[in-house]
Amino acid sequence: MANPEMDRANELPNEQEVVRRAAAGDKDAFGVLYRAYAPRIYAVVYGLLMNRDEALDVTQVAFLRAWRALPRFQLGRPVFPWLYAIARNRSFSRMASNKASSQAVELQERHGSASDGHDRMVELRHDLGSAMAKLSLEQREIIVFRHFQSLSYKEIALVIGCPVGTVMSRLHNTRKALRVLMMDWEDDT
Amino acid sequence: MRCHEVGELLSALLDGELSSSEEQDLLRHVQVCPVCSQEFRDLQRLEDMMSKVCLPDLPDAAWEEHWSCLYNKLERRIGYLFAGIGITLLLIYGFFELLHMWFLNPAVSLLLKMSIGILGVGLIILCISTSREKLLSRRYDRYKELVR
Ligand SMILES: [Zn+2]
Repeated sequence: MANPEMDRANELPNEQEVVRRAAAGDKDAFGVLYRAYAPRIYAVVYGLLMNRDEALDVTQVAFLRAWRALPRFQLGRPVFPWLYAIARNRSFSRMASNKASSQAVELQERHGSASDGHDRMVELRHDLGSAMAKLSLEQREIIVFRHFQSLSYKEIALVIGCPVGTVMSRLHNTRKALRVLMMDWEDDT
Repeated sequence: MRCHEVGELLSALLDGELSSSEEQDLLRHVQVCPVCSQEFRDLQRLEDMMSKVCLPDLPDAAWEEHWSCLYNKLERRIGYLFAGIGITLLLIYGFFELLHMWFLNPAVSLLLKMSIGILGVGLIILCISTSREKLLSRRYDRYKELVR
């Protein structure tokens, strides 16, 4: 708890103990890690690849690799950034080899958000999803972490392995790009 | 503060990532500069849109199903490992048996020994060559994945 900034990137309360057991070959402990982090890894990978089946496959492959690499994992480090780095590498190489990906990110209405009416919401989900698909992988990644996982700049920097300044400028540039892509939408509000 | 210094700080302001003194400096400028205040409003509008949507999730039951699938794969890996060790040991044993019973046996003709020997050498070369190729392509793959 020395660094509360890192808590969301490091959500499991007794994470290090669970990792130690998993590294020693305890599959149930590995299951605890899987249940804690697989949905988050999947969500980000889906945001990158825009394809549910591919995202699930990459998530599973990443966890298989993690299981193999766990005995070499440096205890004391947070697990999510490490797991995500494995999934990220898979996603980037898959995206490079597979150009025929989807044309839009499938978005859902967030529970509890102020509703604009059904048709308007469907339109917003569609337009934002298509706009996101036009961004680069790095841009989609940073949007997903900031907007859909609510990570701080420090946490994003830790997870994607770059300086905080890079996070700030990449996020700002991405928002500017999205704003341009959503220009028509903004005009008719 | 000048306009050209504002840029990405507007995003940081929106995300609550500035210190209170940085925030005050920036707000002082934004309040009097129409260009930067318009830019900030645009960012807020985008933030507002983004806050209404989220990424699709899977139900808990689906995660349980995927975990059991993964669990089976992990278990099978151990099976493959043991089977691999067993097969290797058997092959080594067989090799020495063959050497003992066959190659050192003067009753077996030299021609047969030679043909079997040459076949063995050929198979070993093929084995080494294919595994080296696999290893190299894997290393290349890893290198490619490391590029950010
Ligand atoms: Zn200005």
